[in-house]
Amino acid sequence: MNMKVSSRLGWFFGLIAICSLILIPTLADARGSFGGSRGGGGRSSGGSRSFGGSRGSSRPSAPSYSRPSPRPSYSRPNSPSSSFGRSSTPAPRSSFGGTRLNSGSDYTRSYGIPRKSTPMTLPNSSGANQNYVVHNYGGRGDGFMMGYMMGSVPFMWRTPFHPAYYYTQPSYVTMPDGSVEVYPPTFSYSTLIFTLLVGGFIIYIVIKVLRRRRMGIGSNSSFD
Amino acid sequence: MRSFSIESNGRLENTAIYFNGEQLSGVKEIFLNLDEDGTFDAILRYEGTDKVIYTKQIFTEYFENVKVRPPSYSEDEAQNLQLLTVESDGDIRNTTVLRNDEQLDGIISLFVHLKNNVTKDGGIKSLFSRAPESNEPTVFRAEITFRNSDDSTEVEGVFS
Repeated sequence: MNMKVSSRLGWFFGLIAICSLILIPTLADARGSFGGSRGGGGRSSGGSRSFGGSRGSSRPSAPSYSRPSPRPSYSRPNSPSSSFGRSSTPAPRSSFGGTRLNSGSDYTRSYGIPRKSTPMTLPNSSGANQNYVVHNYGGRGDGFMMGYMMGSVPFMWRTPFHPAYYYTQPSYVTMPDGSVEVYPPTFSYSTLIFTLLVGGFIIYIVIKVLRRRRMGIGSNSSFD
Repeated sequence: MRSFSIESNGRLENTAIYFNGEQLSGVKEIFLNLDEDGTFDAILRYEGTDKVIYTKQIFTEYFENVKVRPPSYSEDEAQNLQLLTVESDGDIRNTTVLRNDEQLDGIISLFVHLKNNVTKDGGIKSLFSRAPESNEPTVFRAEITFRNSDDSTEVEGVFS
């Protein structure tokens, strides 16, 4: 009976870990920026959290299904990280997935007033110039934000071996005048926890296999 | 007349069991207790091809669903191993014990107890089950008691 319970427990945790493996890339893409602590920030945390891709809107009171961006809401870029800058669409991403950011105040409510705001103009994928306001808070997130703004990020950024993996992607807010405000990535505790879970699961399996192999009887023996 | 052999260097990891020339597999326990007084216990416990554990009298019962495997050791490797063979029909009077193919005489008793307590439960499922890790140690005991010409007795390990 006890064996059955522990076996089922093992399967349960195994399933959780496998689900984690599947979900981690999604989480890495997701924008769970609020509620964590931002590198170098030290500001208060809290605030809203929702699913997905930062949706830009100048109307904080706007309902979640309305989207002021002229871009269609039913398409979601395959690589959200490259949706900013030269290589892809500059505007906020689709309504589906990620974390919604209604306005810049959502971000500043959690992370405070930016230390520096830099306006810049970059061409978007259609060749037209797009105005951006890049908010810097200092710390590691700023560096990652600029990396994302370059258009494409190194593969290492998507692996657990790089700190950027544990950060969300930049948050974008489209202003009424068409410009886009960019807020730096924030540390994602959920990604960290899931990574630790999966890593722990893998280590557990390896130790189990090694221990079993050590305790086991050799392949030459009739006792197997 | 059946032939039952144990080839080993004293470690269970390097122990091959032969029955009528075929190497067995899936063996869990061997218990031989032969005595000149007529005691004849020869028991083999093994896991069959149907995953069922069988307990059989070695020299009198049929080994149902026993697993056999190709010989593990080459002749060169066997040089480092001791081979104990018991040929019998289940009666102590018709029992011959050989060590490294040499017949032994003057045996008072033969005691062999080999037991593997490591449970092999294959598959990924087994990685999550805390199951049956027995506290009993692996058993490897094999002794022959001889009677010397001066009527003294001497106990010898078989595989050491």
